[in-house]
Formats: sequence, structure tokens, C-alpha cells
Amino acid sequence: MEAWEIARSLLPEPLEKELRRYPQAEEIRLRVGKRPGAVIAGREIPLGEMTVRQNDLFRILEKATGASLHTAASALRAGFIPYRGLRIGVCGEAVITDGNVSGLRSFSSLAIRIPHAFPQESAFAVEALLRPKPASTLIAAPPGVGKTTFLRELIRRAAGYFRVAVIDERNELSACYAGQAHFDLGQGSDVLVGVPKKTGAMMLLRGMNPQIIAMDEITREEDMQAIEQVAGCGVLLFATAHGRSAAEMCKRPLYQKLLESGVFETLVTIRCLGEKRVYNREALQT
Amino acid sequence: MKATGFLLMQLAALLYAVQCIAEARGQQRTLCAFCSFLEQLHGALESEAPPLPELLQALCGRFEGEVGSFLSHLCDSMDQLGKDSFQTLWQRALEKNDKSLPLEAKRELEELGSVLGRFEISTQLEAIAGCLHRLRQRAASAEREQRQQDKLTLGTSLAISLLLGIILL
Repeated sequence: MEAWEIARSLLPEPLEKELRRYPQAEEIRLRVGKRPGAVIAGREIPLGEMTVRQNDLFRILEKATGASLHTAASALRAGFIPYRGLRIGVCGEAVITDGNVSGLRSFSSLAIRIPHAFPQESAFAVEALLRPKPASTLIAAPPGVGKTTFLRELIRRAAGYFRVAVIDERNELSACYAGQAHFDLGQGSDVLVGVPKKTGAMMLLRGMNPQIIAMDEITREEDMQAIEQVAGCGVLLFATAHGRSAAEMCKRPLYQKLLESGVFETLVTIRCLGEKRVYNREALQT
Repeated sequence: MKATGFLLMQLAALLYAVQCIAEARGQQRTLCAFCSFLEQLHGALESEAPPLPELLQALCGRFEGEVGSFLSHLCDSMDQLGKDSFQTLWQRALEKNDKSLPLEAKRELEELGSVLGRFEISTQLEAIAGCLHRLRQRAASAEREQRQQDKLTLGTSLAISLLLGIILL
């Protein structure tokens, strides 16, 4: 089943019918008391005339979690629930326990992000990163532009020639269910799901003898430590980060450290040009 | 002939009383079994917090009688989840046990179905504990009342049949 069909299967009937008209939808936005919307090429368009009720959000989350919202508690604390390769962003009222967010309730908005297949006309951009031999690569783009999709394709192609170990902290890269990856990550890939990057890096280095380690979204200091561990063992790295360019990323201390660490040899930036994606490759000083 | 008729009347009254008592006792047993089910549900959610369908399936094998049948109906209908809400499936499974539970207890359980699986674990545990507390209270007071009710039902049935017998004879 394609991601778009999976997204449709989550929706209430009138909305599901509306979405059939938009197979190119990248996101579905549902806000209580308002009309639903679909994001296409970065723009939100109204999706039918119905008004979203809170019960509609409950029903979607109930289906996504198999009537077990508590099993998604840790993901919910991070603001979203993964569901068979989709990412359901959630807004609502935070439940605070001992000063920390322990959950969300009184849901007010959902954003269902639909991953799309990597465009074949862009395959050259991925293939070029593997020839003549792969290098440690950082993929940067603003949210929703396709960093994860690009990384997934890079892993899939690299895993045709190398042993690629994947730290899939939020189960977005593989969408593993019952031991099987929903997204094809290639013949030579091994996936570790739900483990923080720092712990996952050590587990994979010790147990799987990888030639390349891939991880999504470098956002914290601990992620930086994971990168240093991997690089210290002579293993190549594929990773993603939020950013538009090396110059812009250098304005943030974590990314400045990341770029100046000399771990990554290549930076790929992605930007939208209408419905198309433009890939820019630059060499980083190592 | 008259004596046989009189005896048959007494026997019928006795049987009626016994049937009433047995029915009430049956409801009492079902109530206690549901309490035991809620205890186990609370315990499992508190310690391991597994997915609800998985947990209900595991509990289904541990209960017989009305609770077993309720869980079996519920588990069988889980493939409808998405088309129908969990609350609807839970309510439908309770409706299959139409006469085996006192009405108020059934309402308590129906309300619990609107919380299970929908909220964070602490809210669910609170709801189960609240429901369990109320069902236990109901079971305890029903037990006290039942003892008096048993005597009253038996006495009234025999007295009416005796009276009828005397009038007819």
C-alpha cells in the first residue's frame, strides 16, 4: 500500500473521498473547528467543506495507535506519532509531570505528513554521491522539503554495494513493523529502530560491523557525540540536518561544530522550485 | 387430587423463588468477575502498558463465562477498528451480555470504554481504578441486599402460594 493510500485509510469518509482528488498531497492538516486542508507544493488548499471535530482527531489517532495511545507516549512527547511510514504531528494541551511534558491531551490539530517516492529524474543526484566511492555526507534542507526521502534513497542505493547500518530513532526512515521495513532500504542495510543515536551508534559499531552508518535529523549535542564516535571508528556517515546552506547553518553553534568537525566531506542542500526539488552539492573542508 | 394440586403450587412457588435467587446470584458473580478483569487490566497497563488489543487477547484466555464471552466478542471485533471506534466495539460487546450485569454496572463499564486507549496511561489507570471502585461498592451492597432479598423472595413466594392454596381449597 502506498503512503498516500495509508493516509487516506486514516481519514473519516468524507475527507477520504476529497483526498482521492489530490494524489500529490504532501500533508493533510486538520484543525478542530476549521476546514481541513491539503498541502501541495508547499501551499495549503481547502479539502472539502466539512468542519473538523475533536472526535475526528481522536478516531485518527485511535486507528494509528491501534486504540493504544499510551504505546505512542514517548513519540507523542516529541510531538508526533509515526504510522506505517507517515508522521502524524499532534498539537493539544500538554500534560506536565515533574516539570516535564509527559503527554498531550485535548488534541486540537493534526498534521499528517505523506512521504513520496524519490523522483527518478533526481536519481543522478544520489548516484553521484556514491561514485567513484562514497564519502561522509550531510543532507540539509528546511522541514518538509525531502531530506529524509533523499537519505532513504541514498541508503537504498549504497546498500547495494556496502553494509549500511541505520539508526532509525523515530522509525521514519524504515517504518519498521514486526521486524520488516515498510520502506525498502536495500539489500545490505541493517536497521536499529527506536534507539537514541548515541546509544545506537555504539550498538551498531560493536555488533554489525558497518561500512556506513546512517541517521536522520541531527538536532542535539548527544547526536553530535554519536557522530564523533562513528567517525572515530573510521566508518562513513550519512546524516540529515535542518538548514538551507552551509553559511546559514554556521550561524547555529551545534551545526557550526558539526560542519567544522571535519567529519563530513560533502554537503547536499535541497530546495523547492515549484513542485520540483533542486539539489546542490558542495565539498566541505576536512 | 386437591392435595396434589396444593403441593404442585408450593413446588412452583419454590422453583420460581429459586430461579429469582439464582438469577440475582448470577449477576453478582458476573459483577465480581468483571471486577477481577478490571484488576488484571489495571495491573497489566500499569506494569507493562502493552497495546490494548494484545492485552485484551491475553486476558481473553484467562476468563470464562460472561467476562470471557465479552472479551471474546471484543477481540473478534477488533479488525473493525478504524471503521468503528473502540468505544463502539466495547459497547457492542457489553450489549451481548445483556442480562448478566445490573444496569448501573453496565453503564459504568460503558463509560470506561470511552477512556480506554484514548488517553495517556495515567488517565486510563485512573478511569479503571474509579470504575473498579464503584463496581466493588455496588457488588458489596448488592451482596448485603441480596441476602435479605433471598429470604424475602422465598418467603413471599411460599406465602402467596399458601394463601392461594387455602383460597382454592
